[in-house]
Amino acid sequence: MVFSSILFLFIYLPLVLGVYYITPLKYRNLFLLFVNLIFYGWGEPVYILIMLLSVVLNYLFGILISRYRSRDRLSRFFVFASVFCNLAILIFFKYYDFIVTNLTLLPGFLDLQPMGLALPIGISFYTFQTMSYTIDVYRKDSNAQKNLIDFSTYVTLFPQLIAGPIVKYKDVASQLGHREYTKEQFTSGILCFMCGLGKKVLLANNIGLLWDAYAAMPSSELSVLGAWLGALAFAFQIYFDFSGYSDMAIGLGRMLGFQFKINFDYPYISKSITEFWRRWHISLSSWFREYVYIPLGGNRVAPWKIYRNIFIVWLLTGIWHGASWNFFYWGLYFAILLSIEKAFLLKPLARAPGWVGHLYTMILVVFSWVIFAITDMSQSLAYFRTMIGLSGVPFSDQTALYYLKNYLPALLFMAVAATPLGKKLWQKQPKTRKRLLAPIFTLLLLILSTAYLVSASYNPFLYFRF
Amino acid sequence: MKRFSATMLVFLLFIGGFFILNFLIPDKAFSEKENRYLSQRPSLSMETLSSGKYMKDFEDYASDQFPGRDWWTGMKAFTEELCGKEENNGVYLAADDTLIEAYKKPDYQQLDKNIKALNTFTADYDVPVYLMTVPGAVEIWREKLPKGAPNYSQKKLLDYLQQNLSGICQVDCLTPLEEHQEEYIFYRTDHHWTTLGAYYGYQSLMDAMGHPATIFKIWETIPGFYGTTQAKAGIPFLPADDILIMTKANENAKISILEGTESTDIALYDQGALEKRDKYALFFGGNHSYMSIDTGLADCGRVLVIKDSYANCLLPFLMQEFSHIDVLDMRFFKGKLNDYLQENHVDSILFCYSLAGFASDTNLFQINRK
Repeated sequence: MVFSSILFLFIYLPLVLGVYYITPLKYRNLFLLFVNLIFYGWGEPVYILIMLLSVVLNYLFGILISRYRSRDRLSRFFVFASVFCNLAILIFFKYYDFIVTNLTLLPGFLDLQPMGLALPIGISFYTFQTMSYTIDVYRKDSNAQKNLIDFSTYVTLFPQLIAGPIVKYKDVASQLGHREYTKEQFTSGILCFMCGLGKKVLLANNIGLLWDAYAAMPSSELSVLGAWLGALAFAFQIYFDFSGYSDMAIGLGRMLGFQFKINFDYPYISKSITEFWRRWHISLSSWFREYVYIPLGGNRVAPWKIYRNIFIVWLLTGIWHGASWNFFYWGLYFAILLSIEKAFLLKPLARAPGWVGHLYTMILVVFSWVIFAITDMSQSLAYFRTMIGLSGVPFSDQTALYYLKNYLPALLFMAVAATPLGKKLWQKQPKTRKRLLAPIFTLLLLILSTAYLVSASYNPFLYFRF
Repeated sequence: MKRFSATMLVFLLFIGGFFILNFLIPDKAFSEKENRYLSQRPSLSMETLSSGKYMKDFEDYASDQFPGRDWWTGMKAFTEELCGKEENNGVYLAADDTLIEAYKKPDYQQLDKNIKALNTFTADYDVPVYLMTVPGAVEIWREKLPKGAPNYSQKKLLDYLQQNLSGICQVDCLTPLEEHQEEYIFYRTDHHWTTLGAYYGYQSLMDAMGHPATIFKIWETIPGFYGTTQAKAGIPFLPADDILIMTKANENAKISILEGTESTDIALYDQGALEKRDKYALFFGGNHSYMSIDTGLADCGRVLVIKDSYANCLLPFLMQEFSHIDVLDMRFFKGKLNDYLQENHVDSILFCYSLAGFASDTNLFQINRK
């Protein structure tokens, strides 16, 4: 099930909210667990068993680690076993075919066959969540959750199960036992959710059509302007799609009494790649920092090790996004840039006028999306060459001008929407005006989003490979 | 109400309200605007659940049966128009309130199959075979399209047909239509040519056959037609099309169609169609697998027409030229054409399709079934 669908908005959500709020507090987690499983099972009626297996395994590991805390070697064994099981599940379902396809290029492995397994929805998210649990229990950052219902509810919570944010157990542990329900939080949840819905249905899906047109064009028919339009379109699509989905997840969480941390903090206003990654997909980079970068020594080791750590983390971040080589190169691209910035570029960037940092970051980020969006490396290199004017096509053509004319208002609007301008304007309003604007905004977005959803045949969610 | 903020009320009433409406409003079977059957409630079983089919069907069902569906799709189209978009749902908003469907590059494999089928057919029979592949507004009215709008050239397609067909007489429809492009030769809200456009096509066909063409005038205009492209684009508030009548219904003519094994008589002009949305079905009540027309004219020969819906407004002109016309639509005709031609002697065979339809037709190969 996806949030941006008629089924979710007008059947699942009203039912869930209605029953949730008449359920007595002590049964709310059980009810949530039940609807979580329906939500997940709706999209994965068979692979839901794998998720349930993962939940039970990690629950047991958590208890074992906690029980044998005094015997360090035993509890360390259990945490390693837990990480091993989680990674095994993830690697098998997500990377087996990729590994096999590449191994068959080597002698001795010619007989291996890929299995053609479908990727279980959300596996990259929930395995990372459960790993964070067992590691946190081991590190004594959390107590083990003895109640299987509460633990299962945490792992399967429908707002973030399928596409994040990756919620660390310690960030919600207390909320599992006790949640605050206020109308301010619920209202704030609605506004957050509506922003996300609008971003996904009105912005991302629409600009995605522009990227689709350019992705399908043979490279001989491109123009420089057109290639940039296409890449820019994808940059906007993935931002509004993913941050929109995170907004909806956070909004839904609030409606249910949960407070999740934000996952996107206006990444496109960054003045350096380092800053970009503090604002983009925060829960993922935070997870890698906490569970990979810091255990490897982080910044507190010899310089060559710092760069080694950066490369390890970013190559892993890259392939987390998908089981194909272009994601590896995408991670590598950032590893190189981040290393350069760390080595000497950050200080001059900070001292230069703001627009230099903005332009530098945007151009490099847009280039990175070309690697991300196109699976075939030779195709993305060809697209690249067109963007920098080296492939012999004209600067502009009729088609590019047509798309520019048709999408310029949307592109300008999205450029502004990607900045905190809207949020700042909102925060400056007096309370009385906010009380008037909020319901109007909600109604307007509900009407427009419903219109687009009913008309939709095009409603993919890009991060669904995860 | 202190427990609810205004925002909460708006949100919860909206989603809750439609939740209830969903159940109160009975399911619709057919959408006039979209001209298709709407998804109905799927059946529940272990198989459909475990394969995920039930879920997918249920989502289609929820979407198709959403209250006020037509209003919502119109709202989206209107919003797109307001934002300055020149295209909605694959349909260009062209000049003069015209809607023209974008033409994408056709599947050349399918086209080659159809060309091969035609060449084989033509070689098998002794009678003269004519082909009319009518280019659409997307080609003839390309000046009206938004500047730079991406499109595949139908002229390229016509040239390709010219080079690869053999033995068949290709009737030039491009030239007469281009000559008369300032006239009302295509509908503004539908993908068909108007009766006037078909008239110019008829003139070209008579030229190819060596018959003198009869002069026809516009005899009646029926207003209020909104066609397929308007339904696809969903843009509201456009001026409607007129359906032109240029031939009077002939009292002596006998038109019958075959439904299964039953033969039924029908009229040239199906007045009932004017009550529905698809007014183009005025001509013969739409497409039938097999139609037999006895015009009552003596010694004028017999022609077999194999067609798609583009021929429907051309046939009334042909009724003034031939004694007998057999009409087949290969999408529905399941018999063997070869048997039919052995039993019935025809003087000429005409294939009449829209160019886009011809390129993508997947039933044409059946003409060679023996």
